Amino acid sequence: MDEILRAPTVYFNLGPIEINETIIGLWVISAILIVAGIVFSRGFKWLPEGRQNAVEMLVEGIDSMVVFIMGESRRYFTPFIGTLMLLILLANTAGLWSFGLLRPPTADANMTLGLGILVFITINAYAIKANGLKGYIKGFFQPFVLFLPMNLFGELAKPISLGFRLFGNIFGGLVMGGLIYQAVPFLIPIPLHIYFDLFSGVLQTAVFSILTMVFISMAMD
Amino acid sequence: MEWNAFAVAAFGLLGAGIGMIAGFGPGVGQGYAAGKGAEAVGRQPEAQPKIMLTMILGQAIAETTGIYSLIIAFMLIGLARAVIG
Repeated sequence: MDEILRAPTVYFNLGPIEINETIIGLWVISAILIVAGIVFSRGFKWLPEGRQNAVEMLVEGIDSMVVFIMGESRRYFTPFIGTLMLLILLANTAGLWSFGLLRPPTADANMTLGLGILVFITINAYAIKANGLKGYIKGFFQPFVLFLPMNLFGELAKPISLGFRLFGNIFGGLVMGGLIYQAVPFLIPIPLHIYFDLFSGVLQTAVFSILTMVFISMAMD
Repeated sequence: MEWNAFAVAAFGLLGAGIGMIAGFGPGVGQGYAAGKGAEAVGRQPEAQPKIMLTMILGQAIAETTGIYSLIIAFMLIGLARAVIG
């Protein structure tokens, strides 16, 4: 049980910052995304073929989801939401595609709460931009003045719930995978590992992204 | 073993176990949602993929509070381990 619940191992120290498995995993995923972005977008033709088809399908899928949830006028959110989705997707399933070498970065509460803070800043910044500072502050007093503490608490609850939902799902999957490998190291772990990493990881990506989009569009109107 | 450390660890582990009673909530809620989903599919079988998608999404969000209790249980187990090595 001890080694299942262990914290991510620290590899070295950059000054006061400890570089642990989470940060290294994040670097690896960022490198993969950047390299894939550069490689897949070379030589775009007007009439798509082959590899470009796949990339266009991906972007169109994310675009249609953004338009469906947030409306046609908010189409410019596609790059942000798309990057967020790809990052979280790769981070959740990292235990699978790295063949067990990488600890999923989202199994670290620091990472998921950091993503929550990112979404929190995005929501409030776009709310101020869309409604103006006065409208933004007035929004906290809707529907009537006594709602102020509840609105404030609701605003805080969004990033905390997003962060902990993602962390709990992925870290819980990690712990349960470890326990099952300890108990029955032979045939049964395979479908369970696939379930926890693949199904749960993809589902939590979708939940995080859809909730982000809903929160942003709710705050902007 | 000091009595105080033992008590903290014991109650921590006990709390972890009792806290997982919160798994009851999402179980009931998600089962109800699954029932409603099955009903909807029975009423309109050609919409089955969309209904399944909506149902899975709703259940993933309803699961959140159960996950919160799991995190608290993990933290309490960590506390018990830290107090009694």
